[in-house]
Amino acid sequence: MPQWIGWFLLLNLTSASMAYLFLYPRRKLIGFHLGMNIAMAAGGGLALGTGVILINLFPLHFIEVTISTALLGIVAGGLFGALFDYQTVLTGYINGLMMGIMSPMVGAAASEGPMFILFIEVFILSCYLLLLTSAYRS
Amino acid sequence: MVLFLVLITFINTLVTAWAYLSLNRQRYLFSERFGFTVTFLASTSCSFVLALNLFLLFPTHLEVVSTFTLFLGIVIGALFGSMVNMQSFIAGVFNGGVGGIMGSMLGAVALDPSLCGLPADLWAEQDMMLFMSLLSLGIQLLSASMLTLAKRL
Repeated sequence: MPQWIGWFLLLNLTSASMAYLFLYPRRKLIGFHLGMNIAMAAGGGLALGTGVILINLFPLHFIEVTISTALLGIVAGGLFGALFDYQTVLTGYINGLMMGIMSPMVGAAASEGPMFILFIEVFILSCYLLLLTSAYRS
Repeated sequence: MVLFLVLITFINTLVTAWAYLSLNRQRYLFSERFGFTVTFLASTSCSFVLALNLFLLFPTHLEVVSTFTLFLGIVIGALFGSMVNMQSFIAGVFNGGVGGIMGSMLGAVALDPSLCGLPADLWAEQDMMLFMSLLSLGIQLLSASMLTLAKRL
């Protein structure tokens, strides 16, 4: 696996923090139904991308990658959910935890080339784009 | 090691039963949305943790255990979901089944890492079983504490 896929980690974190900074002043305008979907998509997508990239960069450290990805998913889902109210925190927490535990296994099973990671990145970035357009319209 | 696993499984079952009984006592106070959220959280985490523990406890009977954990997840999700209404029942059945499948998948990868393309002697089996059982205990206690916090707020 080439080493340049590590830059996608930076891309993921940057897009997630940009989305958080974009959503923060508009959080009173967004209803709880869209808020639940925002928490699930943002936390789960960040955990999925980070787990797939990290297990391909360090294939011999399964336990450390699993713990760090699950913690990142919990924190990201909780932060995106904490924009709205406590039940969106719960939804984002459980979805980020599940995605963070599953994603190192998916990444280890599909570690032939960088094509899979490119498509995962396109998927996650388009998810963020959809989420931001729907938050912009509301 | 077997005794430790049995102890962890017993603690997780006890926490699941406590969560179900304490939620069931005040189920008439729940709104639809709160019922959906609580069902989503409780059915996913409880069925995931119980499936992982059962897979580590009986590692040789792979097909029987994975079928049984799917069934167990559906039963747990239906129990939690039948507290409020039909929407939370559907969410509980679906998420309980998904959690059961994912728990048995995580147990299978933990016992045989060559299933995922990792090298086969990556970790000792004792270490991995210890780590997975402590991980399941941590997930269950964290979810139960967030659930009790949700009832207070």
